[in-house]
Amino acid sequence: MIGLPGLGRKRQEDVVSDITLRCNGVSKTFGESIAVEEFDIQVKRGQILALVGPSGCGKTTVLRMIAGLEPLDTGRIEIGGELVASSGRHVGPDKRSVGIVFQDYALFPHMTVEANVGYGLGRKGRGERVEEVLALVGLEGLGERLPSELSGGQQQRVALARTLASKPDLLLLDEPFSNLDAGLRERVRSEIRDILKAAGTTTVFVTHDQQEALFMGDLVAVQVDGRIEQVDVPERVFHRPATSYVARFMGMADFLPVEVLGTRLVTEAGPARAVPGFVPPDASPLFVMARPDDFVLAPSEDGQGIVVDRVFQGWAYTYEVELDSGLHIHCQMPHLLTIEVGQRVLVNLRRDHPQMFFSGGAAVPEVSRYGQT
Amino acid sequence: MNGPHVTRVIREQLPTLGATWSPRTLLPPWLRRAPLLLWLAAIAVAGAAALPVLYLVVRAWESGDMALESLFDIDTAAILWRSIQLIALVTLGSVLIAVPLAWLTVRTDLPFRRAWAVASVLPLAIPSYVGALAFISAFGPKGLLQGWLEGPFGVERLPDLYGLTGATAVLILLSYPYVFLTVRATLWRLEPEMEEASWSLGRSGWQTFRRITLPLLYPAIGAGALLVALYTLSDFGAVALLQYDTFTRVIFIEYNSAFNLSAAAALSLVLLGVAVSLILTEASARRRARYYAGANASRRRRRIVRLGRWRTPATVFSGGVTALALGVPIFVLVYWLTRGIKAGESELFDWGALSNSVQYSVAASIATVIAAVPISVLSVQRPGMFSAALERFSYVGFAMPGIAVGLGLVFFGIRYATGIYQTAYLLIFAYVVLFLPVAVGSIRASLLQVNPRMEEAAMSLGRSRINAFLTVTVPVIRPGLAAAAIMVFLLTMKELPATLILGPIESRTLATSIWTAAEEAFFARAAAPSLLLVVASAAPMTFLVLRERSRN
Repeated sequence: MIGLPGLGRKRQEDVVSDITLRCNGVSKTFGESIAVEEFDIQVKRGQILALVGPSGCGKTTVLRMIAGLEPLDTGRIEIGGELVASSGRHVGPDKRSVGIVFQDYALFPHMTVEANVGYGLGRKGRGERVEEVLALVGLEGLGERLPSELSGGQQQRVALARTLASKPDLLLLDEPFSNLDAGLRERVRSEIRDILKAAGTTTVFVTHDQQEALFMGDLVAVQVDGRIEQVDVPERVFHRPATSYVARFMGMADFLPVEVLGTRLVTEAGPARAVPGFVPPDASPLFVMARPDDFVLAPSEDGQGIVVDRVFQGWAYTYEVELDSGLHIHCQMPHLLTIEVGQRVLVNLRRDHPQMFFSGGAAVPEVSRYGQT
Repeated sequence: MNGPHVTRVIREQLPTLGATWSPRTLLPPWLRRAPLLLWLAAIAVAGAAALPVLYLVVRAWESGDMALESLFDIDTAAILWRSIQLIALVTLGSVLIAVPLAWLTVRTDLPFRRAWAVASVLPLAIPSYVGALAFISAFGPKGLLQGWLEGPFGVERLPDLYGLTGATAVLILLSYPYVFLTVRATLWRLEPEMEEASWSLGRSGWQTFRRITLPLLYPAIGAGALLVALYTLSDFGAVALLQYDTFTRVIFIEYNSAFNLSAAAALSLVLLGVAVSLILTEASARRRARYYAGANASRRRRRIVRLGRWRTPATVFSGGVTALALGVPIFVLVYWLTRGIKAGESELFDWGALSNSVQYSVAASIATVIAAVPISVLSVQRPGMFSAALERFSYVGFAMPGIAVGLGLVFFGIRYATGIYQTAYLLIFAYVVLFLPVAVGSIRASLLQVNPRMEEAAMSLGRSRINAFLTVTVPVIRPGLAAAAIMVFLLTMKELPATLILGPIESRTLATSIWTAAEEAFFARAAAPSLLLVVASAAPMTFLVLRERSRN
């Protein structure tokens, strides 16, 4: 099929790993409003699953049900092969081998870092384990401090250490980077990814930030209105979205109407390229998805569009172009070429890779929502 | 006069001095940033608040060796020991009652927990002398309980209520709401994530309570305990009626019966010292524990603990506390009132005393709120060392028992202000000093909600500073001002020791008439005014508790 980077690596892991978390048809309503509906997911040992969605889509509720902090209405949750939650069964949070790191860390303010990290451990071997975990998160020598004497990034790592200390089967992270400054965030998230990979911890991680999800996750699950839209490796969720919603949510995307002329697929920005053997649907209108880097732009008085806006992004410009049909598209071009607003331009789709097509909101040909499971 | 247009006119007259010139540059920096008038008013109020302490010191200093000798003569050490015993027992008892009660009403499925929450605050509406009087009448020798038991069981004596036992029991039941309120507020604010983190780390509910919830409540318990300790230390009515010789009772006897003013002054200073050291102890404990309770209560619904088979004992506990602290006093007062009415008692209600009480209280609440405004405004809008110092001064009344404030002003009045001595003016002055901290606290809290940019916006639209304050800030803080006025009014209605010492001769108030009736065991005569005081204080208190609940 299509060669996408990173896929081979994942395939090999799948063969050897078993499933740590399995959610089947999990639903939850609060009063009238449906928070989570028919939620299905599988996470294999050592994998990081990034659960991404707009705020209010129910992702934190999913996390709290997995942790045992919230009972579910219907469905099943299994952790390490053991049934921990169903409509008739609820294993308490203290009886599940699940660690959760809260958005605001919830460090115990009256305890030192050491006491916080050792809180979930038995007396025996506590000291060594605390030191070991503090070393893992790079906080050696800060054990005597109080949480209030640490920076935001350090508090974050203490919270992680406290959870990792008792070696949970499953680690849950709720928007772990949202309280950090933008500058710090990128550094911390790569540190934390390294820590999690070093510890081999199975992780479910909730975020509303697509970049974060793509960076952190071995798998990315896009959740909308309490339902999963798509689960797959990051590359595929980004480049081969199952629905136009996922395509838009994961990054800027324009949709151009496609005219089918025999075997040719024609758009206002020139011909589009499909995978070999592509069969267009008969009736409903067809669209091609284009990311900003899928266009080539050239100044030309004979062009079919006009630049209406230009955003400088340092390494590139993003141009907003109004096509003659009135449709607005977004094109990213290297900063070496500067086109003024008001200039007529010739816009063409890149032909060096096949594009994604959508009809009625779903990808054509169909992309499995559960690509990896 | 101090408005920006004056500045503008001067600026236009003196162009050579440039735009940075203003009349305030002539003042030291800490004065430059606010109207002089405001600072002068605040300094005057702070000075007035310090006056009673000052005159206690002057009086004790002048009597020199005599004051010191009298401290030995009347065995100050024994008084101190008795006071400390009482404070320790009352504080401990209050914590033991209030913490479970607060937890039960916030975190569990206790039946009627909202009703218990209101009922657990209401004992604050009962003045200590009314509470003591009710308990003496109910459980004292020849009291109601003994009377009922005598017939069927032949009980002729109950355990002695007077002394430490009775004073401890009565004061616990009257002051535990302070701890209840502070602990309850913190329980609402605690982030549920703390406890959830503990559960997810494998700890049980009880372990989580003991190791996470309870330690996080320590600052609240400490703050509430301080209020209980200060209440106990400064209480005069209950210890006097129950004949337990703490500082306040001995000071009153020295002043009123022995006419030993030097001894009274010296003892008052020792009493003040104890109060200050209580405050400092709590403050240092709080500094050591740099705890943090989430600034904003989490919107996530917290888990309600199911009591299961503990439901009945928990209900009995909550009901028992309410029955004792609220039920007994109300029952006794109603009992005596109906008996008095049936017996055709003529002096059931002293209308003159009510009229005096209301007049004094209205005057005191207006004066206190006006006095509190400058200090509150400066401490919020011009934070700095000097405004903080002024604010400290206004807290004299917090540390100083009413009897000490009263005595300090007696000395001041006799020597420098004979014109107003033994008139209502000096008495109202005492009320202002005593209740200034309450008013400052309330007004400060509402000022903190005011965005300072609003006044600046008004001034940039051409209003003077004072006009901006009156048209923008005052309307916004009106609820705070009203709350302050109501609280001071109620506190003044109930105040006893300062009123006894400073009240105009032959002018009775509700508090003093209840006191006189209680001392002479005319329970029927005390019942009606006591009930009036309790009901009048309970109404706004219920309102405040209900409002707190609807916010959560």
